[in-house]
Amino acid sequence: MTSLGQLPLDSDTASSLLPETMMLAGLIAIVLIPNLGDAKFRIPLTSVRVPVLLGGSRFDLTNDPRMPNRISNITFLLAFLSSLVLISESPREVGGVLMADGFSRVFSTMFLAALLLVSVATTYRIPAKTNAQIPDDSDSEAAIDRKISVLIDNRRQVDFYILLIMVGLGMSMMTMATNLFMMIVCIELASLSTYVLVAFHKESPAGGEAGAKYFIVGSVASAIGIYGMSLLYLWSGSLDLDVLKESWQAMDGVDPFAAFGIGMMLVAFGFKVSAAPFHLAAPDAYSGAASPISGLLATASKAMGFVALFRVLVIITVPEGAEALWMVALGIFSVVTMTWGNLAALTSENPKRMLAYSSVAHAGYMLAAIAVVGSGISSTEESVVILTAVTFHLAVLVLFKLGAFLVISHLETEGKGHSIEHLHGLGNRDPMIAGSMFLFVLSLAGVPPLSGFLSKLLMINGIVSTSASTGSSDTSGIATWAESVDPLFWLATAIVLNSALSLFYYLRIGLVMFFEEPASSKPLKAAPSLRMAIFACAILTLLCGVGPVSEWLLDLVNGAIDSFMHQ
Amino acid sequence: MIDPSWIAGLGVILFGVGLIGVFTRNNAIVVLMCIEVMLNAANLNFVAGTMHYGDVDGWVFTSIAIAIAAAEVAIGLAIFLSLYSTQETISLDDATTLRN
Repeated sequence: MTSLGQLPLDSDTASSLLPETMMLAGLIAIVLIPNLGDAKFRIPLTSVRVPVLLGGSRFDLTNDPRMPNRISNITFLLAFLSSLVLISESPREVGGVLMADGFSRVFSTMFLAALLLVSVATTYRIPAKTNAQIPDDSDSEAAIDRKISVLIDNRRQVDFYILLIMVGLGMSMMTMATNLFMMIVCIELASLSTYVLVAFHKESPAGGEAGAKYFIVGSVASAIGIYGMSLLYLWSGSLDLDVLKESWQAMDGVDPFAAFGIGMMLVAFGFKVSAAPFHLAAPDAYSGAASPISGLLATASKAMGFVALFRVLVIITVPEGAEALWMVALGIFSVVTMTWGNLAALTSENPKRMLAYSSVAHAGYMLAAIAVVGSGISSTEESVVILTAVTFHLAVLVLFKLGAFLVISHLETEGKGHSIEHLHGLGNRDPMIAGSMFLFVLSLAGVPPLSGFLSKLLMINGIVSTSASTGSSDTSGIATWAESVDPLFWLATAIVLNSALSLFYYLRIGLVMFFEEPASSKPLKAAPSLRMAIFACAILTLLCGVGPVSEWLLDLVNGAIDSFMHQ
Repeated sequence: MIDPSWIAGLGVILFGVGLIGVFTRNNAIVVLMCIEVMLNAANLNFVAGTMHYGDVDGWVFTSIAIAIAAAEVAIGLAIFLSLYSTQETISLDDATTLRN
């Protein structure tokens, strides 16, 4: 009984789990602090009253409806910074099921950055009013409704940020899991919280419907994944990734238990990365949820699926120098995913659905890169290059995909954002926001010198340099070379063609923002912290494309992936 | 003593029933029940594995999987309730405000 050890609580462990500890503390603080009050406890049979500080009439300072947002901002900021610092720490195993190393810290930093941006940006999404009043008899019915909805919004602040911190806790534990069961439990912690976040605006018909659809598809996928995991347990007797890897390498031929087990786990993770044909709930969920939450699903939740794919596909099932079982299937799925996503985005009139489909297409690009790693023709060095490109793409996606959703969120503050017409003339109304949005869509399309271009270039470069050398070096013409080259080369071609296709709908957003007349020329509502988050995304999108910041980030990711592949 | 392979075999049948139900039923609550059946199929596999390998990992997995299933039901029913209160249906095909 070695796989499920106990958690040793010494100071070294505590320091290597610092971001998670901080989120746990934040969770406790966010529950306790708004409830602090002047309640006293009378010791029985005496008249001595001891203040217990919980309950009674609340203190004005701590009962401020903006308090939960502040606590969550601080929690995520501290957790993000400590996770960033911990990237360069030496690997440490915790309790036999967690491994805190550079790889997991790169991803948890990425998740926490996304959550920090979401937390800062949602200040104005669910407005907190300090001057809320209780309705009285003299009010008209409309006034009573308005006052009650303000009170409900205030009451809900805590719920929202508790769920957000839960997502962070689940995601960052998940990156460290070296046991499949631990991994699934952490993924469930994160996804159960996201189901509620998607359905958070339960008064609107869209909220409940989006939540219900996302919940059904998500829990079917995870039930299939857990069943697949139980098959793996029947097959090998352990769910530890290292044990499974050894069993896989010792396997003679293909054991049906193992093959079905891995295949079913791929369904669960395929849903998380929103790969076709499991992406069908994604557009509904993204368009029904609040935009920052959609952005979270499109970036952090997707990256979580890719961590799981890395662990399961690349660690367990990649044989030395031979083709992996799933390679052909994954290659085909990736092409279907990117093409389907882009074609559906072309015909979409709702910018949130458009971004959702574009996120499906991006999942396709990254799956194509992973298929190449499984082909067996890439050396370990080439695999490192390709996986670095995928991870770098996931990291910069947090900036420009989330940024684009945050711009939509800015429109949502005035009740718009669900139709492309609401973007009309944004260039006149608010040039800075429109400029940032234009930057985000260009980066999504992969236009140099933005970060989206660099990551896509690295990915295509990795695929081409792995596969092009398999073509015949016969100089008799391009046709013989094209016939002899490994089919993987065409994956790179598919990515390039799809990027060209995607330019149409990305540029359409830019076009309507600057060349169409707005319905009203009123400036956007003031939302300083949302604007701050958008501008931070825009500036970092630029900086991560060229220059020292991009090199620093690339080195960081490369080091993490290098140690991941050589462990 | 029942052979573990019979337990795992029952698991396969339950999983099949759940999967067919998920794809053919329209009522969200029935779909939720089918998901629970699928999770229980996985639990049976874990129990069978524990019997076969003689270690307790499978029991730990089973008990935690039951906890996950319980959390899922609680969240699922709450979401369906909010769907019902706004659209007066819990049929997944009838709720189509997001399509356009």
